[in-house]
Amino acid sequence: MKVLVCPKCKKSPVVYYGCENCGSQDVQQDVLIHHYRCAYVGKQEEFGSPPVCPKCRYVLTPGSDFDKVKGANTCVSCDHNSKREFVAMCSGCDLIFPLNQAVENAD
Amino acid sequence: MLTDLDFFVSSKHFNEFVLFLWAFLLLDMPRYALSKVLVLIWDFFCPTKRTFDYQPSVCVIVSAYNEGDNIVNSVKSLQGTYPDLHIIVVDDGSTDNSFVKIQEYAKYYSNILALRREDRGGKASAINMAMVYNKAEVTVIADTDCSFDEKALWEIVQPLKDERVGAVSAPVMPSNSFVNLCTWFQAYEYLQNIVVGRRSSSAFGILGIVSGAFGAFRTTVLRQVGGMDVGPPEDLDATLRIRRSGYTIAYAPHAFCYTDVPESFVVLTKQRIRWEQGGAVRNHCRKHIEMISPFSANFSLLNVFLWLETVWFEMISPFVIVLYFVWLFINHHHSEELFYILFALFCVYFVFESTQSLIVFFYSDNKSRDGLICMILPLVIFYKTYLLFVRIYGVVTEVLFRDSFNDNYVPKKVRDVTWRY
Repeated sequence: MKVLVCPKCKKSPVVYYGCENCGSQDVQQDVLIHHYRCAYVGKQEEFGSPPVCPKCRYVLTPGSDFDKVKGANTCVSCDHNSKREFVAMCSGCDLIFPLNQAVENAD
Repeated sequence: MLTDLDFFVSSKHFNEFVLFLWAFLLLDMPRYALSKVLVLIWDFFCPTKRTFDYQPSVCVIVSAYNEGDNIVNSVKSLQGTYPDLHIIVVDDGSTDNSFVKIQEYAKYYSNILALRREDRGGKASAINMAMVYNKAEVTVIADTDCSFDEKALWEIVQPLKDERVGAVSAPVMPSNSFVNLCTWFQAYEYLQNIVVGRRSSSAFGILGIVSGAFGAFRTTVLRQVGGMDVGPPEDLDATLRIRRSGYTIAYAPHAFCYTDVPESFVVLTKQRIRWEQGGAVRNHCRKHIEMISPFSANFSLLNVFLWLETVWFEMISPFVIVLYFVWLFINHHHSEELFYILFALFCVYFVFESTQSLIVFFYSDNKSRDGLICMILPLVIFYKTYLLFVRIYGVVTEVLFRDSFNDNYVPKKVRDVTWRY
């Protein structure tokens, strides 16, 4: 039987969803705010509380002139905009690698 | 008949001729022809060298709304043409399977990021959404129905080596030039007004448009002016804001982008009316009127020239031409002279157009294609007349009714709350 193994030590890895860049599991989807009036889109943190648009300085009116939009997945530890891919961690040497870099074992 | 014409011509003084042709000299044809001749002379004596020694990181932003396969094709034509390239595709609430297709393609490339919002927010917000994730030095904004020359990205970033340049405009050509007469006319028009017309405008420092189809912006500058505003047109508005913040707009004459132009006059008329409504009236005369105020920040005489040029040729000269012909018919409708005057007008027009075509041919990268496109020259007068009336309709409806703010191009929820200039 052919299985996918670690490219370095040929041991079988553990596969999980994570950041394709650093392997961290702490990948979160950003919440963006789209201010209709000036077309500004930015992360929710930029708007503060009470929410004020950083571009046009208007105070957002709930329910009328802005919308929350789902953004990309961002890795909390390396700030990489991940696609939230399968990441593999080798059980032998602890090497973390994207699953598409795994090799098929020869046996 | 020719002897009669000869007699008519020789019996007139030069100033009488100028009187007949005065309105003609106000048309945009002499403007383009003269500026092209000047640029040709300038280029002949001091040719500019093409260099490829600037290599910033580039992020291409593509926004898509119900584009289907186009979106994958345009991304494919960019992929692999530049070393430090990121592509961000924003699906602006498509109702078809665009997003599934691009996501499937993006899965295999780490430099493509596909974003999706569930409900449509308009092109400006889609570009601004991509700007959140843009970490590159240069932002290239591209349309989904375009394909790109393999050198296009290299060419378009080179002018940004100069710190004063805030954005770079690129030539756009139809990819379907020879489908029918309608696209052939447009190919001729794009060749004259965009490919070579923008070269001369940029030589005079009054280039005021970066196409939304393909244009490069310095990311810091685009952030500084606040990204895109609600359109249409987002591209013209952003360009004017960049000019008003003190940067210049450069032109990359070899960064070709090919787009699908409308194949019927009905679709073309709708497109042109939208362009005219969002053009000089909405932006130059209403939103960016402060451009000509000497008390505004970053005031520059070039911006005033740009303003005067655009307002004159896009808003005022169409009316002057129509008035001129009305005047001509009222004064000369009973005399034989009318025919000769019209014939003389046509001859002058033909000389100007031929000069332009020769210059276009001189600058052409693809001489066989452009030569064939210029063959349409004798018929272009009909196309230009048609455009004249479309332009008048666009200007009148925008001045009176602010029609561009009711355009379905922007979703209603956004239109309802945004500013009306």
